[in-house]
Amino acid sequence: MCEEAFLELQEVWRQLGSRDTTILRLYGDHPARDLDQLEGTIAVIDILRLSKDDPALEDLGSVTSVAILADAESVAHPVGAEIIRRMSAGGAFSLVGILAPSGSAIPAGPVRSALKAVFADASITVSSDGELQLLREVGDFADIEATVVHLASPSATALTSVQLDPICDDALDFDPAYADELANNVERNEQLLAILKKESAGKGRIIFYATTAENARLFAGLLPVQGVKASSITADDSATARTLALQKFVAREERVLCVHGFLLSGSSVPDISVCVMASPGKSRAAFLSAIGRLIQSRETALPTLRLIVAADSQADAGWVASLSTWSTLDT
Amino acid sequence: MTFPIIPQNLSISAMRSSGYRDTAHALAELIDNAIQAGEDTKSRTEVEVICIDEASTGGRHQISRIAVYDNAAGMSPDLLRKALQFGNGSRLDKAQQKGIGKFGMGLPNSSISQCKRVDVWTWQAESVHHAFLDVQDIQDGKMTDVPDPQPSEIPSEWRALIAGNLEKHGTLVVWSKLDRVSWKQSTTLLRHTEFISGRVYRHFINDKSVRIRLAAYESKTRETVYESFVRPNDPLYLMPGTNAPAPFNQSPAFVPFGQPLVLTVAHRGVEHPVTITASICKPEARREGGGKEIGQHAQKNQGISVMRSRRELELNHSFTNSYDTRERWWGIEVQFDPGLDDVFGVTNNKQSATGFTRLSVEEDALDEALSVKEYQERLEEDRDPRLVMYRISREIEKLLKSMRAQVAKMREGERIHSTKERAENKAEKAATDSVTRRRERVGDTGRSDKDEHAAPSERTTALTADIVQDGVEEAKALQLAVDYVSKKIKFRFSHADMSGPHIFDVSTAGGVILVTLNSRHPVHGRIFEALRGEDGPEAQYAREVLSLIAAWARMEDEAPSEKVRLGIEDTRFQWGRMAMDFFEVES
Repeated sequence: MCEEAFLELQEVWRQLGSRDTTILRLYGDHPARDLDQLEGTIAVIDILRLSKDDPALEDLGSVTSVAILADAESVAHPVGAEIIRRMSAGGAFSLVGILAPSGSAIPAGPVRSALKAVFADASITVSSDGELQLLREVGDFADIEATVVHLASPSATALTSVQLDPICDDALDFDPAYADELANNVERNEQLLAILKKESAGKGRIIFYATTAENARLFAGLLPVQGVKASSITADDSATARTLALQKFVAREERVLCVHGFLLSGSSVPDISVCVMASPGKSRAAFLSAIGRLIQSRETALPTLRLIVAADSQADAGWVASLSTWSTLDT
Repeated sequence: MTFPIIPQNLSISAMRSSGYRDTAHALAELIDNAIQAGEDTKSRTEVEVICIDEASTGGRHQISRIAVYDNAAGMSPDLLRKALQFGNGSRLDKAQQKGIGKFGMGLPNSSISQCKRVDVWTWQAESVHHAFLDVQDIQDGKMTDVPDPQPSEIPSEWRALIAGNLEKHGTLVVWSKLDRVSWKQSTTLLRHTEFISGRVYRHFINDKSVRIRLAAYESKTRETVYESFVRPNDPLYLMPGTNAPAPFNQSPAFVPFGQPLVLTVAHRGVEHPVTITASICKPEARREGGGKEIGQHAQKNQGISVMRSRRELELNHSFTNSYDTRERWWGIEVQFDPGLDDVFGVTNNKQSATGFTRLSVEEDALDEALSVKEYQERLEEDRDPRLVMYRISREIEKLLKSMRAQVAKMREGERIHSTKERAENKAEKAATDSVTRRRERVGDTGRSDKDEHAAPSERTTALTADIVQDGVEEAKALQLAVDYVSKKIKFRFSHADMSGPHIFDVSTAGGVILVTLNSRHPVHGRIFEALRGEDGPEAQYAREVLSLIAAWARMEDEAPSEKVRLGIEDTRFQWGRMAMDFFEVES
C-alpha cells in the first residue's frame, strides 16, 4: 500500500506540474531517514517502521501539517494511538483516516468507539437499497462469496486469542517470523496446494496471495508439477517487471497467479474467478484494499468472485464471511 | 558502363510506394503471412505487434521500431531468403493460393513501404536464422542479393517483450529506420491497427484460431505504453464479444437478414460458391441514433465487406448512397474463394477487389445501345468475368431494397409512435386549412372529397392499412386513423423507400390525400430528411416545401379527368427524373 500511495502521489504531482515537491519513501528497502528532517516534503511512511518509543516522533509531529492513516483503525490500536499521541506532543496537525471496511463489519466494542471518538461526524452512511443499486449500475459493485478455511497451522493454534486480537496485540502487524513459520509449514502448504488444484479445475483464473514472496515462487514451481499452469509476481520485482510478467501471465493463459507484497488490479487480469488469501496481515484496510483492487472494474458478465481466506492469515477472520452479505455500508 | 532499363535506386523507390493505404494495412500483410503459416500448425496462431517508443529530439515520444512476432510454422533458411525477394515466396504457385496468402509479395513490399530496414528471425525446431534488407544499401548498390540467412538467436530485447510462449517454431519481423509510418505515436497506430485488423481477421479471431496482441513499450525503461488484445470488429454486428460500444459489444446490435444466400458461380470450368450474408440493425440500436457511439461505430464500418477466404479485402462503397445517413444500419458480407480472384480483381497486396463494384446490366446495355438480351449474349460470347459480378450485383440490390425499406420503416414507425408532434403534422394541418378555404370557394372538386362521405369506420379501415405500411402496430395505426378522420385532416405525409425517380407519390385512402416522400430520391436527403430531425430552421424550411408538395397533390386530386390526372402524374415522374440530375451527389 505504501508503494501504491507513492505512485499515486507522484502521478498527481506530475499532472499538477507546477510545484517541485519531494516525495520521500520510508518503506520497504528504501533507506531510513531522520524523522526530524522531513519538513517541506511529503513522506510515505510504513507505520510498522515507526517505534512508539522513538523520541523523534515529537520532532516529526512538529513538522507535520497533515497525517493520513491508510488504515483508520490504527488509531484504535495501542501502538498506533501512542504514535499519534507522541507526534501530537510535538505540534498540532490534522488527522485523516481512510477506512476500507464497512462500518458494519467492525464489531461494536473498543475499536468502533475509538474510531467514532477520533473521527466524529466524519463517516458516510449508505444504508438504502437504492444507493447500493446505483453503485451496482455504475459497475462499482461486485458480489463476493467469502469462505474462511482453517488450515493446519500449529503456530496459530498455539497463539492465544489475546495475542491475535488486533487491538490488544502489542504490534500493529504480525511478526515476519510468524509469516515465515506459516510459509514453511509443509502441511499447510499441501492444503493450500490442494485448494488451488481443486479450484483450477473450474473456469477462470485464480489469484493466490501467498504467505511470503518465497512462498509465492515455491507455489509457482509446484503447481505446474500438478498440471496447473502458474507463475509468480512479487514486490521483489520492479513495477515495470511486474507489468511485463502480468502481460505474460495473461497471454500464456496460465491459471494461477501467485502474488505477494503488492496490490494486484483486477483490470490487468481478465476473468478472475477465485482469490485465495494466505498472506498474513492484521489490517482490515490492507486486506480489503487487496480484494477491492481485484474486483475493480469487474465485468458484470463474470460470475461472483469466490474469496477463500486462510483463517491463520488474519487477526480476526470472523468478519470476512460477512463480506458476502454486506447490504449496508454505514459506520 | 551499364544501362539497366530500370535503375535499381529508382525501382526500390517505386516499390516503396506500392499502394498500402496506411501502416495498419501494411502490418496486415505480415499478419496474413503468420495466419497462413499458422494453418500448417495444429495450435492457435499467436501474433504480437510490438512497438518501441523513443523520445525524439523534440522530447515527444514516437515509434522507433515495430516488431511482428508469430508462433506459426517458421521458415527454412531457403524459404526465408525467398520470402525477402520481391515477387517471390511460397505462394506463387496457383495451387498454393488456397489460403489468405497470395503472390508472396507481402513481406518485402509491406516492409519497405514503411521503413528502410527489415530484419527477420525465423526458427524451426528451435534453430534460428536471420536475414535482412536495407533500403539504403540497395539504393547505394551495396546490396544486390538477399543475404544468405545466418544462424542466430532471437534478440533478448524482443524475447523479453513477447508475452506469449516462445515455441519451437515461429518468426519475428522487425521494422527499423521507420520513415513512412502513417502515425507517429504508437498508441494511435495500435488503435488504428486494432480497428482494421479486428475487422480484416474477425472470423479468425472469433473462432479463436488466431489471437493478435498489440503492445508498445518505452525504449529505455520498458514501461508499458499500450497493451491490448484485438477483439473482432464485425461490420455485420452479429458477433458477440466485439469492439462495438457497450452494450452491443456483448449483445450484437444487428440481426441476420434472412439466411445467407449461396450463389454457385462457374468460372473457367470450375464452380465456386459466393456467399452473401446480410444483417439489419435491431430497433434498440437504431433508437440510439447516428450521433451515439454505436451510430459512429457503424458509420466507420459502412459498406459491403468483401471477404476472400474469410479475410476482408475491403469495405466496398459502390452500393451505398453517400447522402443517406441510414446506410450504416445494414450490413452485407460477400465471401468468395481464391478461385475467383480474377473475377473479383484481387490486387497483389490484397488491399482491394477492383472487380467488385455495383453493376447494372440494364444501365450498361443502354450505354452500349443494346437491348439487355443482346448485351447479355455478348458478355456470354466473350466469357466476360463481369457476368458473375452482374449476378452478384443484382442479388445485393434486391437485398438492399428490402433492407432499406425496413430501416426506413423502423424509425418512421417510432416517430409516429412518439407522443411528440411530428414536423409533418404541422404541415398537414396547414395544408388542410388551405384546402378547406379553397373548397369554400370552388367547391368539393377533389377526387378524394367523395370518400369523406363514407362511414367513419370504412374511412379509418382504409387509412389504417396505409399507416400500418409505415411500420406502425395495427392498434396504434387505428388510433391514428381515427384521429385523422375525426379531426378532418385532409393530408397525410409519410416517408418510404420507393423504386423509380418520383420525388413523392400521391394516392388517397378514406378521403385523405396521402403523400409519400421517396426517401431513395436524392431530394429527400437534401430537403425532407430534416423533417425527421430536431425542429429548427431546416425542418421549418422543409415544412414550407411540404406546402408546395401538398398543392401539387391537391392539383392531382382535383384533376378534371383521369386522362388529365395521368398527365400530371407523368409530369411528376419526369420532374423527379430531371431533379435526380440536379441533386445527385457524385460518389
